[in-house]
Amino acid sequence: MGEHVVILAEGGQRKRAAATDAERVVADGNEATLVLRQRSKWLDEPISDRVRVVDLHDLEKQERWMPVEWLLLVRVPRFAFKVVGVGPIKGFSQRASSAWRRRVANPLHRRVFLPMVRRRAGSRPESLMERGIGARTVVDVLLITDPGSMPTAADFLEHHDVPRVAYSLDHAEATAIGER
Amino acid sequence: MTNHPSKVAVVTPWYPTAQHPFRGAFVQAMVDATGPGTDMSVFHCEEWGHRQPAAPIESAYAKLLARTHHPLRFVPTAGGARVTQLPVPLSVTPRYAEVAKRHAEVLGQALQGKPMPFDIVHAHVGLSGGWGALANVGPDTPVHVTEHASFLGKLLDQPDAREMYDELLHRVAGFYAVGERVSRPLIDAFPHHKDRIELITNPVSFEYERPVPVTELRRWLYVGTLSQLKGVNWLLEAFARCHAEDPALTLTLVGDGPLHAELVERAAALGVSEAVTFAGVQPPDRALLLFREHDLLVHASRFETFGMTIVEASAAGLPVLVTRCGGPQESLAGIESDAGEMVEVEEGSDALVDGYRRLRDRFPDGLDLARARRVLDDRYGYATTAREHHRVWFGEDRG
Repeated sequence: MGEHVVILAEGGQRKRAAATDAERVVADGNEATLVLRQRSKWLDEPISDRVRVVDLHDLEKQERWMPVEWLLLVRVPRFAFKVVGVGPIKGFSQRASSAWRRRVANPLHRRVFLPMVRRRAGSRPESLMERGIGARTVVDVLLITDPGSMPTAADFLEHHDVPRVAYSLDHAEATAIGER
Repeated sequence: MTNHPSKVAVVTPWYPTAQHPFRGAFVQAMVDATGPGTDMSVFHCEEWGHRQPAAPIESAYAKLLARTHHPLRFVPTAGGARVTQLPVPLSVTPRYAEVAKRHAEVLGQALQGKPMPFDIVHAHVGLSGGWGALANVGPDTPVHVTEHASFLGKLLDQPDAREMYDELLHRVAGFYAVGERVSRPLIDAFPHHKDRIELITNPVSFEYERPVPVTELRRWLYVGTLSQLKGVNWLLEAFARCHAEDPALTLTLVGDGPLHAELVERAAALGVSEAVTFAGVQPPDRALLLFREHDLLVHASRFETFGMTIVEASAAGLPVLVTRCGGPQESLAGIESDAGEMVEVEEGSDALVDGYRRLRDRFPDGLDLARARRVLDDRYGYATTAREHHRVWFGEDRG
């Protein structure tokens, strides 16, 4: 295997570019790792089986606090709505349960719990990315393929020595005028 | 061609990428045509829209730019030029003035606040490439701007964007619209700049020609976005009706877009799924090869400022069936019946079906594809484009 190219596509705003570059990397006989968030959102963009996928969302779900949050925000309220919602108020209770999930649990998860956990050193996206890739794995090229990946990329580069950084595979070999 | 020692920068928001293989193909063609004989560098300032908090992205990008663009790094591109990819991350906004300012800011960050070290800067799209370039050149560097945008109406409705456009027209050394559909709203909005707005067309390569001429009009081809603006829904309806008369007809749709799923469903409902191929997005060189494998380009767009695919197809020797959607009336003026058939824009498939029947009935003797090709080469060929650009850049015809 030749070079290891990590394609960071955390924001998911330019999936086609990320998937195309990953496919080209493996087609050229190199190793490609595609770092994304929530693979289920990539169903419209096929990813080659030869590309290794690191899903930051999955890694985040493995954090210790997640079951506790899930219990507090989702399971306990759902159980409560179920217990209360019998007889004539069953329909109302079911609607209230979904509204809770949509209007309270999900925003709380996104705006409060996630930012809190991402402040912990081991749970920051770049740490999850490092864990997903393998802490000792050499990265020869880092491609930052969308704006949502930029904060993670900048943090990752503060602690890792990556010889080449670019925004697409076509530009991975870019040189300054007069260089080489 | 005489060598121009001049250092020319091209600043553009549009240039083909893996995400959008066709977007800005005309800018790449312009670089291909005008680059030889100059020392040309392309700044591809591609907008990367997002709906996330802007501050963390912008602060991270400033750090990344120091790594990726200080010093500026390039890869070779068309016409012996070099290109640097400079994403412009921005919060999705309908405000054109904000977009323009963000372009100026990012280009400035990449240049570390120094003026662009070029003799001539040619920007594409007024309030993104043009504004970004003007904000980052020294006082003696002339900036030329080519406008292609089809969204000028919306832009000019926004007072701050309109004011910036007026200022841009004051400051540029030369301003060029790629067709009358682009120049007209600008002249209406800024009559005091009427004499500054010239027409300059997009270049088209005539290097490629079908090795075997078309002998029958059976294999239809569409290349572009699958959207209502492009009239692809009516194209499919028209195809189904013609297919009912001639089951040997096929249709290949190259591209992607919001109508994709709906079109697949509609093709099934019309019973033409077997005859319709959804080829997806293809790289431009593959799209050119498709001209070899098809007999007719059908383009049912509602509006085009230029309509590059139509000229490319004619350049490759393919007959065209196109709507009178703006650009094609200009590009095919005087050779409409030589190149193919033009039909009115209408919300229905009748015009396309009738147009196809007329075209089929007078094919091949009623067309003169070779003449159409010659005339188009003279209008849009690389030599013409290079001559025009070098004239405005260097003040003389050195092409």
